[in-house]
Amino acid sequence: MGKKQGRLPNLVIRASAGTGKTFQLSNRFLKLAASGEPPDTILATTFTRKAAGEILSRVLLRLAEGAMSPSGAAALAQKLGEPGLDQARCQGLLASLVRQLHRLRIGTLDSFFLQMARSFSLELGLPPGWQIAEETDLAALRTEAIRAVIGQQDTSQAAKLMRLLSKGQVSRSISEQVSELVAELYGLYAESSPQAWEALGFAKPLKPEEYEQALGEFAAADCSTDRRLATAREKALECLRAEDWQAALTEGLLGRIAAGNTSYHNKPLPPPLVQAGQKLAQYCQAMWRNQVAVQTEATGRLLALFDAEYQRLKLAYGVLHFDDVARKLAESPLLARVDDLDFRLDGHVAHLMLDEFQDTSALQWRVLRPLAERVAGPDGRTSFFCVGDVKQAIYGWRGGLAEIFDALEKELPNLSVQSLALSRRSSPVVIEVVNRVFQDLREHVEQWGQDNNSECGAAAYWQQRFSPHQTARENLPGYCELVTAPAAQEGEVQRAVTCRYAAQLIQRLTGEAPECTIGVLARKNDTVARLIYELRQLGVEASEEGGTALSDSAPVQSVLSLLTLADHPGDTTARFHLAHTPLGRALGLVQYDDLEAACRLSAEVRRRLLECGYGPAVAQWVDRVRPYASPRDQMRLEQLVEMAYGYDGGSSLRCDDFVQWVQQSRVESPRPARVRVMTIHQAKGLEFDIVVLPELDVKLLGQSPQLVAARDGPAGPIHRVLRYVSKKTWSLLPADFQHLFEHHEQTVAGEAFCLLYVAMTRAIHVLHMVIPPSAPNEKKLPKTYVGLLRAALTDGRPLPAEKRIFRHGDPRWYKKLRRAAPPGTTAPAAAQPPSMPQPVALRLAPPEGQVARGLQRLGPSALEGGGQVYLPHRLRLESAEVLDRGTLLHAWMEQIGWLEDGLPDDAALRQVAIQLQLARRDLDAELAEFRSLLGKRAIRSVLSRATYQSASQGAKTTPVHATAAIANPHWEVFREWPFAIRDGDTLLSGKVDRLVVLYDGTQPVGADIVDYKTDQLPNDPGAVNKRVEYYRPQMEGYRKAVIHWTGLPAERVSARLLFLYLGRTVMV
Amino acid sequence: MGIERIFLGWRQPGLLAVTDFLQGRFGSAGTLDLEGAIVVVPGARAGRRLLEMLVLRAEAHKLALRPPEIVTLGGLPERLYQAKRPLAGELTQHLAWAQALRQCEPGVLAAFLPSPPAGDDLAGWLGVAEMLARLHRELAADGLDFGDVASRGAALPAFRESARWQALAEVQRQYLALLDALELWDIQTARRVAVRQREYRTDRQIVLAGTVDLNRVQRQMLDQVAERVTALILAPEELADRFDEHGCLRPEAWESAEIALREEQIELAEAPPDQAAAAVRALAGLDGRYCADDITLGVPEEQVAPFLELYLGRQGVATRNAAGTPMAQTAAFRLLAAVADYLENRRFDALAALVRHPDVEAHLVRRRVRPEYLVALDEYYTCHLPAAVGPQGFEPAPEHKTLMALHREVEKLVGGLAGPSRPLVEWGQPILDLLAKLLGHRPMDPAAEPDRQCLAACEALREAVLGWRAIPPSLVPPVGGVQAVRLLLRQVQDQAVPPPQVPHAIELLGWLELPLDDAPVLIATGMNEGIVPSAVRGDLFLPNQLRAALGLDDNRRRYARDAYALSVLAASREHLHLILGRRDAEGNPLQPSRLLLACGGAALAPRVLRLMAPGGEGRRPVPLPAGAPAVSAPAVSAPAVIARPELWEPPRPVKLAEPVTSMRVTEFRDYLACPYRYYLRHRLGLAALDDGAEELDGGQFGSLAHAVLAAFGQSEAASATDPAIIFAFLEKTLEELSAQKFGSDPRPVIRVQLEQLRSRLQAFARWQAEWAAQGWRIQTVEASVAGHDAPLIVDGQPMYLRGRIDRIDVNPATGKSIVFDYKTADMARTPEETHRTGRGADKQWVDLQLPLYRHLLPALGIGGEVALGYLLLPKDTGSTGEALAEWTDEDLQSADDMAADVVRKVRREEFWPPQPGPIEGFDELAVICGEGQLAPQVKEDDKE
Ligand code: SF4
Repeated sequence: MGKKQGRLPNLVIRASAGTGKTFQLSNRFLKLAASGEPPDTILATTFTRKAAGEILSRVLLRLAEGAMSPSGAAALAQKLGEPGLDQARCQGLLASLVRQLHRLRIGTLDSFFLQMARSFSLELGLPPGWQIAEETDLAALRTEAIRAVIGQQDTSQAAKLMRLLSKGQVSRSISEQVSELVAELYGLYAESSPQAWEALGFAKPLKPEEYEQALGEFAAADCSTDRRLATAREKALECLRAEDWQAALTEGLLGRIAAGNTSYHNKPLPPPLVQAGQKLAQYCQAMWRNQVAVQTEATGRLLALFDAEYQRLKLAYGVLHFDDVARKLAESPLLARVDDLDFRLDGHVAHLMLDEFQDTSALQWRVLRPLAERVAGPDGRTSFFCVGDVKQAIYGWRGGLAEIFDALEKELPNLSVQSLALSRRSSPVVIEVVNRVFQDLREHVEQWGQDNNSECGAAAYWQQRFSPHQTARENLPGYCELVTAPAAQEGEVQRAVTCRYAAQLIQRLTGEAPECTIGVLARKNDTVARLIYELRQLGVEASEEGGTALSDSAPVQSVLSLLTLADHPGDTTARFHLAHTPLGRALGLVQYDDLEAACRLSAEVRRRLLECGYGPAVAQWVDRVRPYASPRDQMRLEQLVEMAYGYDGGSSLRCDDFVQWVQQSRVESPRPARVRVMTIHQAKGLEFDIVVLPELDVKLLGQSPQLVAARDGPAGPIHRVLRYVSKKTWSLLPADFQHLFEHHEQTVAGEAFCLLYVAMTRAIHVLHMVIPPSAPNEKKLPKTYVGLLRAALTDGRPLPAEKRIFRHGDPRWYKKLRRAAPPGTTAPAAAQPPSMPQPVALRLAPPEGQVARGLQRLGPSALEGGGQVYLPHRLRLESAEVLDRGTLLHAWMEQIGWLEDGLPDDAALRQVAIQLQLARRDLDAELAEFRSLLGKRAIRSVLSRATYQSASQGAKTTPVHATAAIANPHWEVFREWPFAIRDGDTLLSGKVDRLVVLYDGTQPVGADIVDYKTDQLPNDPGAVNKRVEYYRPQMEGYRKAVIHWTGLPAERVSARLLFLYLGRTVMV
Repeated sequence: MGIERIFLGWRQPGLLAVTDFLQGRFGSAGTLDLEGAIVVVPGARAGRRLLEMLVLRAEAHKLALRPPEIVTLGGLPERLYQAKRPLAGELTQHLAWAQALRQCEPGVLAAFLPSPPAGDDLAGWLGVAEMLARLHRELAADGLDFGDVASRGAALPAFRESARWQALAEVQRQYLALLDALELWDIQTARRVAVRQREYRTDRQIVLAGTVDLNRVQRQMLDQVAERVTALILAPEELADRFDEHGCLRPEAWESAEIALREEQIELAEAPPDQAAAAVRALAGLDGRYCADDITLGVPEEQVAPFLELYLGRQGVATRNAAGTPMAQTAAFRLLAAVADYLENRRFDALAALVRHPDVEAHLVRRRVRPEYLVALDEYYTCHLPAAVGPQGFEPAPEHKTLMALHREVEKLVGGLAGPSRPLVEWGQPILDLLAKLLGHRPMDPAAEPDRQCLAACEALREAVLGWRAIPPSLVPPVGGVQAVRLLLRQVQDQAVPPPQVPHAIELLGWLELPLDDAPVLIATGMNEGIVPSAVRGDLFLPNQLRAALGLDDNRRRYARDAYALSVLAASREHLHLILGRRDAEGNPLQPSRLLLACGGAALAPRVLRLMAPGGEGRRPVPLPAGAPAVSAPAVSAPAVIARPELWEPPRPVKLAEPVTSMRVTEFRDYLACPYRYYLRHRLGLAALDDGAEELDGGQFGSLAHAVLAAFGQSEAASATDPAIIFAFLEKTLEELSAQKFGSDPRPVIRVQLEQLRSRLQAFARWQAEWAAQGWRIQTVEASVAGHDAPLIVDGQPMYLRGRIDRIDVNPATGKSIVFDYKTADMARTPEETHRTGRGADKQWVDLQLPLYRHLLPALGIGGEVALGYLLLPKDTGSTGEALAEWTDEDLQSADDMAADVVRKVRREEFWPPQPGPIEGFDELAVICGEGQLAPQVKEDDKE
């Protein structure tokens, strides 16, 4: 161990709660950076983006503090054990880190995996452009997949499968049942090997005739000596007839015989009965086992079908879940060549730092392990570091596996282990109570009496990993108590009573210590909701961690009803609700039974959503109801608007989708209240001045799961799965499967201890535990947290109601608070009321006299037709052909200056076509046609210089034609003459096809505008005139531009349309 | 001669300086003739604004203006050379890539695409094709091909991708060969060839206005016309060494350049809406010194922009978001998408979505489909759960005129896109016809919303369709209508419809457009790392180190561009305010932009301390207008806020038009559960209606079972004692009835549910056979009592009971009868369990159905001793059979008393107050009753 030169040791820190994990990580990072390691070779990962952000800011903030003053630098140098780190170096280091901010690799595991998957998506078989999907989209795909799975099966087969899944029952619901199954078990399935589901295997039962024979013998054996025995046999036979193997085996006579008993009520059993019974028991056992095996297998089969379909759909839609990313990576051969990954990942990971290691899942570890092995190797320039706490492993159900943490030391070489048990959070009182509960955990659990092997096992394992805590904050005032709530009266539910009592306590605490934050931590979501309710009843503002659905606000709900109605005008409940809210009135729906009005409103709402998008549309509706809403509701409405803006991208044509999304999304209040209520899981990583635990009467083992499973090694795939069977049948299973169940219970119990540990260690000053009084008939300690706490903190006697059972510390701790608490431990702003919209007066200067920027841009051709468009005309493709031809003709005409100067040859014209991307057309024909057009008199006349010169020849139709008054007239022709002028609030710009300017010397004296038209018109004056009128606004635009440019009076500027196909010019 | 470099300084907004320059160089007495000039700008918006400024300048100085040609960098090359071949359009290129990929040797493909799409998966191949096309475009712009990457990459230490790039090069060769054979070029190739052959020439003056970042081909091109090029650099001459000979940034010179910002110019906000709110407050702080035209809001990322529009809109201030509306959100796009979804396999949910598109709805109504068709459609779905439309599902009976018409019209509408595969180009007109039919039924005004947007979207679609004609047929296989539509949507989905012109609006501009903007006030949001500047970190093809090695755009260049941009902004704006967020819309933390931390030694640490400090105080309130309305546009009315809680309470019951004189026996339960909900459901008849069901619910399952059992009771099999006979009848009847209801081919889940029901019926058959063998006979089934036949006299007044008894059995041997109600719920619950709660003396009636049946019996002519009970058909088939109530006369009397009590209350219309919820079975009324609003959801069922 110890430092090799220039390198930090591979280190595992087992950091108990509150001992400063983030601090350790930032320490490590800073040490590496200070020793000159390029920061982009350090990969530091954690589980939430919030935590990742905290690590990064901690690194930079500590460095910045060091950079501020010599003393700051000295303090940092001391913490890091880097004596050379002075202020200047801090400044330099800070500047360098900040410059490389984009290269720092401090992030979540998910984002690291994501980056890997993106960089290797083709190798991983991912479709181009894949995305991480929103949960709602995945839910839709799951529904789709379930539909497909049910559809794939032959009906009777599917029904059979369903019955196997529901243990023989014929439930009505199929989709629902499958989706529940999928929701509960798919995560497990995804990590299992296919064989896992068949691991139990089948037993070979007796042949039917042997069974019949045994049955006969069993029935015939003489039991006349004992009536009780006869009844017991009859019962056993009944079970056999009903094929209820489990009952046959676990209850009554056969059970006893199977267990090896040969007597009944102290009398020996008749030997023929025993012999036949043993055979029957064997048979039952085989049948029962096969039943369990078949059911397990069926579950696996269904999940396999689902998996295939779900994966296919995800691929087709190009979406993935984070778990898929990890799974793809874990299964990919890429991991075998980690060094090959560096290039595309833009960097070589030389130092790995893993946070919250106990929450790493098996899958994640499979991806990380090669990297970890590489950096932990003896290379000398790389290092491994991780920090975590098995005592806080509360995500077992989600795939976090504390076992990996335990196995780590074996898996990686040269690992030093360091344990931290010095809290930087809690008061001595809190720490002492934590120690009292956990350091003799096993003893406490043993007090529960019999049948607690699993709990004791878990407690022993747990206790081993617990070393007594100390605290660095010795002077922090603190207090801790355990009180009982009143007993529930007739018709009351004890948990409700306990919650109410806890709420009263919290109300008192808010008065006693108004500066302090209070965390109320419960096990279940229901309890959280109840506590919030009770607290509100008492007028205590409390926020629910993670928030609640916005539909908890009536005005929000009115908008949702509007949207429901938009999708379902026939839903009279939505109609009734809406019609009785201010929103309904504002939108003109007052009669709930007015179907016509409802349909009208439905159409209007959907149109508005489509045309404006959800954000603006919802914002408008919200404006209608805001005046009638309370401050809290105004805040919720505003959050609805925010959600609606967030929704726009993926909006479908169904309002239902949005409504559902709102109903299913939890939205936190913009400011946390002082009292925050949450589950213990949510409290992970948080701390509070005061912690209240009101739900301690939950069973340690909780509900049994559908399945139990085991892995092949801590990080291996799941290799054994079995349907859950009741405890009394465990002994009928092969030993390794029995172990599966025991292991499961131990895991659950262990996790329960972790939860309690996490809950208690959130407290800075004070810990209040509220428990129900003992039940009147209590015989022993309950197998709950209550039982555990009572064993640890009391003498174990039954508890009366409303009594303080245990206390430690100073109940008037808050009196000492002001002096003792260092700044920053409490949240000063937390006491503010929730935010609601606030008035701001925005004044702008009037735009008088200023030309608006962003002038309306118009090309004169946009003026054609005077502002009305017929879409069906626009969308005719033939007219596009015509347009193309027009474009080409224009371009060719543009090639011609004066006819007299010669015409372009075919090659030049072809090149023009190529430039215009129009060369694929039938160019020869076009060219021929063009040449023939050029033969027309009117066209030649326009293009010819001579026309302008020969005024005497009677072509004197425009002001540009020579006038006798000009001594030395000359003409200039402009092709595609560009212009840009302002016309009020519009900017007129474009090009004039042909402009001929007549000069007297250098002075322009007249101008002639010619615009080529390729309309296919009949040669009758009516049609031509109509067309001319159509083009008039455009020509006026040109004329304006030319007047502007030349400064000529209007009458000196003529404008003509040249209808090429017609061979006619028309003056406009 | 090299390019002329001119430093215009950065004290004034760039475009102003450019305008000055152009006037100085090209202006003369009376004219400003720029016709011979091409002005190259970095972005389209700058180009438009420059023209505007030139026009205004000419106006102000009374100059006759010949505008220059203003182009963006991307548009310049084609002005300077003549392509010798037609250029392949984007879709053609993609299709050619796809073809090249498909033609590839499997071994070659495997080197970079180990799991290729299926052969006929056009979309799959196009996905890969687009990826390679992008790659090709970027590399070619710097004069490189895939083979170059393979060879030059090899010089990099960690590069192990030579084989992969060689394979890619092979595909690229095939791609080029394909185009070559079609006598086409792609634009990158044309430009490169022109460079190689020194074909760039011009007789015009090229003015580069603030283009500080050019790729290699662009540089080579400019070098060929260098003597005609002037690069205007928006920076002071002193910084000349930070720019190269093309007027571009030298990245290394910007790497550690300080950016001069004052602390108060930087503001830290929380979430995206808070950034917008901070911007509004900053505007308010300007105190009316500037007008809307003087103000630009920078929105480098899209999350903030909508909130700026919202908050300013509420203040009555007009905004214009240069980003426009994404095509995918336009009515036309959504319409085509919905049509394609429907046509794909005519699923019911696709139909339901399609007919909810407002333009489809308007069309249908114009075609005389009744406007309430959505109600009919929902009802139909709820009743029959069709999976698809057409022969497989949605087959409304002729009496369903509305739905028949709906179906007919929808089919007519989409008919043009149905049918067998055809060449892509032939689908163009049918697609446009569909749009024309739905959107173009009236003349439209291109100057007014929403017509303008609709026209623009249609125009974009038409353009794309027009492009199809240039696609060589050999590149596209014949496709179906759905595929054609999807291809079209794929082509346009990344486009945007430009925003409407709004005079005197505050502009919202993306980051790239900001340096050349000329508004004196700039408030920029989104100043976070990863947004400004963005950075590459790892890539499928071009990770940053490879980019750097190949001289492509890399992180250093990005940073240099943005550092330069911010320096320009800091120097040239009268008022600059920069806002950054602490977290994004999802609540994830954001870091400050490196640009904000580009400050000198001593200034850095305090700034880090400020910008990285942990939050915690939560979000600030959202701004609403106060006091006098702002100028420009009418403000939204923001009346003084008055909370009116009473407006949100459940509405009080109103006096019924008619007194209640008749009740169903099943109604009593609802009254007992909650009088208010009873009122809503039974007196007002409120019911939810939607089309979300995935499978049969309990009610539907039950009524089907009831119908089968009713038929059974009337059949000859009713008296059978052979389970086989009974079951045969039940099975046959189930088949018939379900076929009537769900068609011959119901959705799979219903088939399975029917199978489950069949199993329950089988269990029932066994029980029934035994029951019959015990001598029980079915006397009556579905015995209905209505009208005035069964009065329950309360206080001397009759309350007429209505109800339908499922089945009455008698045992002729004993003379006993039993009134049965079938129960098909999953769980088997006895009458006692469903009718009463509580223990011992505290028992309470919660349902009165069975006891009240007694009062129906006289009307059915049944007397004597009658037992009451359920016939259970639960999921646990072992519990199938009778479950009789064992109520004493006393019990029944108390039930009657209870019923009388209910009758009295109903007569008095005592429907208030509602019971606190939630109450099982009344979910649809939860919203009206304010559940989950006044109190959070608290379940009472968490009993120990
Ligand atoms: S049962 Fe008849 S009326 Fe009811 S939805 Fe079906 S087809 Fe329409």
